[in-house]
Amino acid sequence: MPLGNHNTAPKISLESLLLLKREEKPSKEFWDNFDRDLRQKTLQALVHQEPWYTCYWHFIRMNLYAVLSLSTAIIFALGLAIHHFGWFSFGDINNSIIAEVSISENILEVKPKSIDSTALSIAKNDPEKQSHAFFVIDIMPHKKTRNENFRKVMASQTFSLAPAYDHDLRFVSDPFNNKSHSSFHPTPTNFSYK
Amino acid sequence: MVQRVQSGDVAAFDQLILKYRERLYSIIYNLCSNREDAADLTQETFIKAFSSIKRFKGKASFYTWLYRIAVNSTLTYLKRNRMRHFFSFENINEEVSSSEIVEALSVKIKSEKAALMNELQEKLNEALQKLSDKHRTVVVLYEIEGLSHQDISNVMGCSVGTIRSRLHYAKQQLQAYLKDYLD
Repeated sequence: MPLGNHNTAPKISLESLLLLKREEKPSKEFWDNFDRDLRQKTLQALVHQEPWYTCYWHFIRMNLYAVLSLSTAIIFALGLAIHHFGWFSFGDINNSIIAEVSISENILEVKPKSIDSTALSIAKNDPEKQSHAFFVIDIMPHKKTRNENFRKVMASQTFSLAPAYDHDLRFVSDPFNNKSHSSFHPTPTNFSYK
Repeated sequence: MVQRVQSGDVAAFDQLILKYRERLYSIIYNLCSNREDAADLTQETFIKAFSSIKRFKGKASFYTWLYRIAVNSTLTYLKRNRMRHFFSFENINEEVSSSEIVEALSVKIKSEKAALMNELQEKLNEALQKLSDKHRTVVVLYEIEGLSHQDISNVMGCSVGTIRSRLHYAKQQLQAYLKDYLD
């Protein structure tokens, strides 16, 4: 019967129509195949041992939002802790600026050279000294006496030259060559460059 | 029987399969409207149940727990294969149909009756597929499988009020889709 010929069709209730779905039953042959396949799959499931991480994976899938929230919180807390305790200085890495410093009798000249992704803290165990410890990872001796060129790494445009440790006249060190160099300015002196 | 399976009796699980396979298959089939997929999903449900039956604590009835696995597996499958089986409906065996619809149709000549039945079946399947998965699940569990509101709320993990509301809305939608054929 064409679909448009609805007026001649007998009308029934929705519930009766839905009950018709109960009659959609498979044949005996279907169930025979079903049982055979299921038995095979069950045996495979019995033989196949799930790897140890499967239970954790199921747990993560079932609690996806909770796991994501917890992971985010842990990462955030770790980030705060690392930053707070100075385990790692993000600023040194992201904002380090290499400058060339020339020192003569009473003149200190700083020329920015480039941006670098490395930095080294001299007084890394003493937070008070860290503000003075953003610089000097390499020293290149100049031909003239008391006139040296410094390749400096700084976290900010303003820096201070001062002894890194009490009773220690050194304010620079050379971590690449394990050399120390005498201080030229025992008194802290602030410099800035443009 | 469940306790026997929990203690490792595989033969007891075979009895559980025999007891629940037809109803489980019917639920899944009416949700996905494809015979092969329904068979696979029913088998998958039994294997999942077998694998995790030691976690069944008996707080809810076993069939509720089993139905829940089946419904969740099917809804997950439908999400992944939304359009794949939209038109793959099965034809019912007319000889076994003995409901009110058959009586109503008996006033027509035989060939016309068969055509009308197929048309109605097709329209009903289309209308069911137009419902959202959650609304279709409620209709299948309540109207076709005859579960109570409380049982459906346990299976679907939501309140009885939500189930009633979904059922009301779903039937309204079906009435609208099938208005040319219904009282």
